[in-house]
Amino acid sequence: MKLSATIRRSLPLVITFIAGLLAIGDYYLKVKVFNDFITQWMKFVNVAAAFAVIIGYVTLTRIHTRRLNQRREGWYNSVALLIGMYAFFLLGVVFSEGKFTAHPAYTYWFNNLYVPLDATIFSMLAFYIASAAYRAFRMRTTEATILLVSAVLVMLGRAPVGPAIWPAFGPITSWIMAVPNSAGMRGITIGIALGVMSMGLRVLLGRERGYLGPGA
Amino acid sequence: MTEENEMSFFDKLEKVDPRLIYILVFLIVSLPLIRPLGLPISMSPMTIAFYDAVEKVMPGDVVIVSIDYSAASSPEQYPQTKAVMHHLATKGAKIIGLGFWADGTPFIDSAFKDVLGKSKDHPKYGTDFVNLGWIPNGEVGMKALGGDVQGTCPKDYYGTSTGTLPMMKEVKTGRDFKMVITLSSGTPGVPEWIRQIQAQYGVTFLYGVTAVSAPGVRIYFPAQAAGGLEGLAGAAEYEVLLIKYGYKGTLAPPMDSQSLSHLLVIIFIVLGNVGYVLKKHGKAK
Repeated sequence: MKLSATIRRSLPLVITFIAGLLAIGDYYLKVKVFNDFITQWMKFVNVAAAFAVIIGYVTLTRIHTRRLNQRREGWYNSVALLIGMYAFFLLGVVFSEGKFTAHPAYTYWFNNLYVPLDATIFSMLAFYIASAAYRAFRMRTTEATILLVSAVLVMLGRAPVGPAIWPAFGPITSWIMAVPNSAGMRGITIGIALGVMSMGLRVLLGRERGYLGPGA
Repeated sequence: MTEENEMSFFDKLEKVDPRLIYILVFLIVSLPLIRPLGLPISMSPMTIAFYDAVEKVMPGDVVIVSIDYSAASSPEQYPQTKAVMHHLATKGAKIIGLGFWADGTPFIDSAFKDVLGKSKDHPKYGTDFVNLGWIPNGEVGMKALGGDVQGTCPKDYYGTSTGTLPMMKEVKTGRDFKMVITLSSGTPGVPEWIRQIQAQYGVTFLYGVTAVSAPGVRIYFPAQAAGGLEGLAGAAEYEVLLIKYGYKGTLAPPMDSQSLSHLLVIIFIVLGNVGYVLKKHGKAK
């Protein structure tokens, strides 16, 4: 069956509009039947989202198999990715009968391979942050100087050495975090929230169609 | 010393080779781990508020502990997780471990084993604590969890039907949670929990976050969040507060490393600025 162009364009907008209204309605209407329906619907959405993992597996396999076949630059990284991905899948799902930790090799690999590698990559930030802070924090303007002084005070206040040098570093840091930081962050957060509401309305009313893909 | 030499010295202050900084950071982080300095750990108001909120938990209260971080931030957040689990177990809380980050979920099992000795084989598994594992779909998953706990998690992490676990018989919706604690390093995390559970069910809410996330979530204290652990420093402070419950912390040496690395960064910032100001002054002349 081939759908007309109008239906193909309108149907997703109608579904989005109804889905959005139901989600908003659940927040404001306290009607048991309606709320129970939304709860069931949310569980369905959860199950549907879990299937995205399968799509992820298929897509990654296709992309990296192609890279491997064409012997593109760095093809050996694709080999490592495919081995790691399928080894974890086999250990965690197939050999563990879906109970993840049932196979000891899964936990062993996770704790002794994945965790150290991931944590090492993240911890390398310490080197780059130290170097970047040294190069970036310059008293070029008044604003930059205020930022620099705040950063130094917070660095001293959030490590034991600061209060050991001067006990007031702790309360000063707490004040910076609780007053200027919170005031600024709250302003930004409220601004983002207003933007999200505006964007949500545009999506619900069909004014914003970027999520439907090009040409929608 | 000639003016030309002076300028090159200021230039050097401003442009230290990054490799020198890397080597010094490596040494300064490593040495206190081998030989700790034993610097005293001070208290922040956020950690005290967190501790006080957990102290109010009564035996039998249902507390959600959500592991919303990945392996990358585990060195910073796993110590938070262990300390939180220990404190809750001491207070006699009914702990529900779960997570919205797929690769963070194994830490729930590890934390139960580290704190209680065993996980699913523990004689009190199912009556005092459970591990519901990963819940997909982020914020929508949280919404579903609040609406129907057993429907959203029909089986626990080990494949047992959730409805057959004794403590889960009384836990139907978000209204049955006494407290939610998220240990989070991103999205979904603190704002999502606040929107979908804290605001809708009036649950007491606490968080433990990475140091880099702390300024962003501080805005929820004290209205939505009753307290928070901020980074490794927050976890170290919490460990000190838990000494009275016999908790043996591990974070004093890493905090010494953090102290020295912060000092090193400050020294380099000062050196860079001295070079910058003197060079500017020299040019002005």
